[in-house]
Amino acid sequence: MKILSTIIILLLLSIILLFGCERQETKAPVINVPVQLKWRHSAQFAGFYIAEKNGFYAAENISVSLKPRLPSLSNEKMTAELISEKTLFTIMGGDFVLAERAKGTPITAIAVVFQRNPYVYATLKGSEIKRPRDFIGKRMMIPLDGEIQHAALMKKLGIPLSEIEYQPHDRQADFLKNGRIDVQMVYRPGAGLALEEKGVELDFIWLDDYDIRPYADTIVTTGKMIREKPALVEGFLRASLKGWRYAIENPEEAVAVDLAYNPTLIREQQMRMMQVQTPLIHTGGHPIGWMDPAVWRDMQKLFHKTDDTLAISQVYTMNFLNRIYGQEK
Amino acid sequence: MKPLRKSLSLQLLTGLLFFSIVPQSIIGFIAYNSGRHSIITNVQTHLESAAKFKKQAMKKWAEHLQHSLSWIANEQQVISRTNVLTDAEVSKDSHKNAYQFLATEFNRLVGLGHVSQVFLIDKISGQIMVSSNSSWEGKFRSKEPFFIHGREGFYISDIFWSLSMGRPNMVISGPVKDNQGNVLGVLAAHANFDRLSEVMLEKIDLGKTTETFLVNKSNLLITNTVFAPNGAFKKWIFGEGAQRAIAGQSGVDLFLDYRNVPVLGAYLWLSDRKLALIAKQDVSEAFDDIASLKKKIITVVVSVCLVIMLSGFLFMRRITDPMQKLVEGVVAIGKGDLGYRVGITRQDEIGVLSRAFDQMTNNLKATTISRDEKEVLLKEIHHRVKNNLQMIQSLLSLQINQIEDKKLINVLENSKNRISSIAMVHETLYKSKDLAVIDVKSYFQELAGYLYKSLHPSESDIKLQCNIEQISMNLDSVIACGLIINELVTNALKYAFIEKRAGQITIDLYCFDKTDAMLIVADDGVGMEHLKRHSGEGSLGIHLVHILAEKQLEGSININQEIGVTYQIRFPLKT
Repeated sequence: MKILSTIIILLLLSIILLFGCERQETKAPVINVPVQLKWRHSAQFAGFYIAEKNGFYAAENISVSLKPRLPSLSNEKMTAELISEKTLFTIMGGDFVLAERAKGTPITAIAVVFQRNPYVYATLKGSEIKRPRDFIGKRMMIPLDGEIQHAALMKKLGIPLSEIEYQPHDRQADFLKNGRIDVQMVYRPGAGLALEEKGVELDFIWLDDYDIRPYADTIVTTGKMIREKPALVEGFLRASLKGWRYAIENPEEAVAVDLAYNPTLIREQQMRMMQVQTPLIHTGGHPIGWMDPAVWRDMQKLFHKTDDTLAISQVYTMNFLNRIYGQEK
Repeated sequence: MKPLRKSLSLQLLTGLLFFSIVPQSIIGFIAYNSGRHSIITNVQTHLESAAKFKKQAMKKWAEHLQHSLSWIANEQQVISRTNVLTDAEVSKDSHKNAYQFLATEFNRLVGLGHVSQVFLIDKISGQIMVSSNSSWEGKFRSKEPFFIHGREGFYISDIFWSLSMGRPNMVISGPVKDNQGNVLGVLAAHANFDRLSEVMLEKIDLGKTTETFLVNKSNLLITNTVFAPNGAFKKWIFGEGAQRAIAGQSGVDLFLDYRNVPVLGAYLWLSDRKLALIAKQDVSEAFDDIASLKKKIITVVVSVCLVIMLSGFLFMRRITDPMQKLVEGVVAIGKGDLGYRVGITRQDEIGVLSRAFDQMTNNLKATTISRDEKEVLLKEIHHRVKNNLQMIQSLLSLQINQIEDKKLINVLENSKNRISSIAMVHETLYKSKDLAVIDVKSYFQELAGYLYKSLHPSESDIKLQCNIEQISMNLDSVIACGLIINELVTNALKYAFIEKRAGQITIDLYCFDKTDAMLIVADDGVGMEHLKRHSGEGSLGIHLVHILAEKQLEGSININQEIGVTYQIRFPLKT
């Protein structure tokens, strides 16, 4: 009995010593990372919400604050906040990144959210308009941010812009539904979805199918961040991409978190948004977030003159994606 | 006696248990490991075969698609119409006819069911010129790998999500060349991708948890699985098998799958398709046969042990039961029950032993009866000797009564006492239970008491003290000692206290140096001189003491006269 007691005491002492001697890992303080979203809270940013909710950012020792974009926040002001480090990452359109970079603003895209072009031409379901060539002689409404793409496509197909009748853009109007226009260019997960929500049955002609494929939502940071805090940039990107993968695997959970960010949203609408945007984010051909240098070059040609001085290699960097996924096989 | 039986039983059972369990356990262990290895190898082989079978099925599927496309791309009419389509103006009839022919041909191919769409792409612009689905015409595919590589030879694309089709898609493409080998266009077809999922989901006869599936290089699940029936293109797989395959390895092993469930699986990296192929089965099911084998081996070992134990127990009972009877017999005989019989009639060694035991008991009983009879006779002899000696005593007493000479009376009295001391030995013997052992203590005490009672002067205060050890002596030595005590105590009572009216006589007899005995008769009377004066120099009593001590007992005498007279006689013990 005495021996047994001695053994138990020795064992307990060993355990105490073992735990006592265990190296206490000194954890670095959590880094606060303000992130400016491209728009108000919605399923468009579900991957970021999930990454935060599921602790993917916490695992990278990051605490994010996801800031919805207010109508008063201009693109220029959004860039200024990024440069001044008021925000460390921003979700912005690829065309705007190119424009800012052309002006010399030191921002760089580290990944894209939408790998495919979300802009489509919407026509009423069953319409005889099946391809861009059918636009000739038709009435059309083009949003401001789609004008360059439309013009580029028409040029590519040899269709004079003058052969199409354009209506001034009105986001709120139901011109397509009431027959005042035949074709409307829409942001598929945005206005396109909104039209469907109103009960308008649509067919879509994807600009992507005609090799007009600029990146829409890109994840952007500054050159300074990339130089000085590459680990933070990589950690943020890794967690965000993991969040997007989880959101695509679990859309209902993603929408539930999305609704927690913006309770005014309607669950069914957000689910539909997830369905619509998922093929734009997750193409199967490349991992989530992947960027194709050829697309950036095409974008340069699309949005800028080919002889401008913009060095396209400064607009984006593949370094972080390569570190996260490995060099593409 | 029962502990003996239990002990023997326990030893026998323990031994049997040990010699049955140990070898069986070793054999069982070897059999189990051998069986386990065999089962695992068997499952591994099946899974490897399944993976290779699926790989082969995929290859056949792709080859069939390629063959179909190749066949149409090399058809002369298709080549000539493609040539027309690329050279002639759109408005010309030849262009329209060529377009119509190709569209019809493509739809015919779609109708065969292996592809869902066929289209011809302009070799320079990458624009679709003709398609089985006219709405696709005019679209550009200049950036697509299947267009870029399809100009050079037959190519099968990675699986990707088609926005236009709203589903995963795989394209097979190849060049349409003229007779001079110039590329006229790229012929492409959308593979009926569902067939690939069907190939992967086709049951392998290995169990309900067996599944095969494809994962692309980004860990994306390409085909549906048993546990994720709608998981294709919606789920990423990070199981160990998929990870290893994506890393370019092929093999078969135990690992955790995408559900974190332990599985036995085979994994292959299909480098030409850039896909990981995994065939796996849950360990719980794969090792079901192992668990069954384990149960069977344990059941056999336990059953054999039980049979051996039962047989051993019954066999042991055939040994221990007769032994128990023999032991009980020994105990009974030890207690004097010579009527006990084991009575085993078996014909084996135990039966022989039993009968020998019973025979021995019979013999012993006969011998014991004979001995008892002799003992009775001996007792009778002692009794008669004692009676005869008492008769002589009585005769001497009668004689004494008729004699007036005191000296003669004294002589006769002495003789009578000597005869009495001898008679008392015989009396003690025939009263004792064991004739071989004389109770010397009671004999000498009785003798001393008798002498004291007979010769003690009434007016004196003489005390007699006997310190006799119960030592073992033969009859001759006892009689000799009895006569010595008779002489010395008689002398002491008669002469040692004539002037001194009080005193003490002590008789000591004890074992000395284990081999000798010491007899001491002492008095604190007046001493030897007075004895000599009254009984005369060289009296018969003293002479008799010396003769008995030295001749009969073969001992030595030491006489001490410092206080009274002390006779110390040391003699060897004879039994």
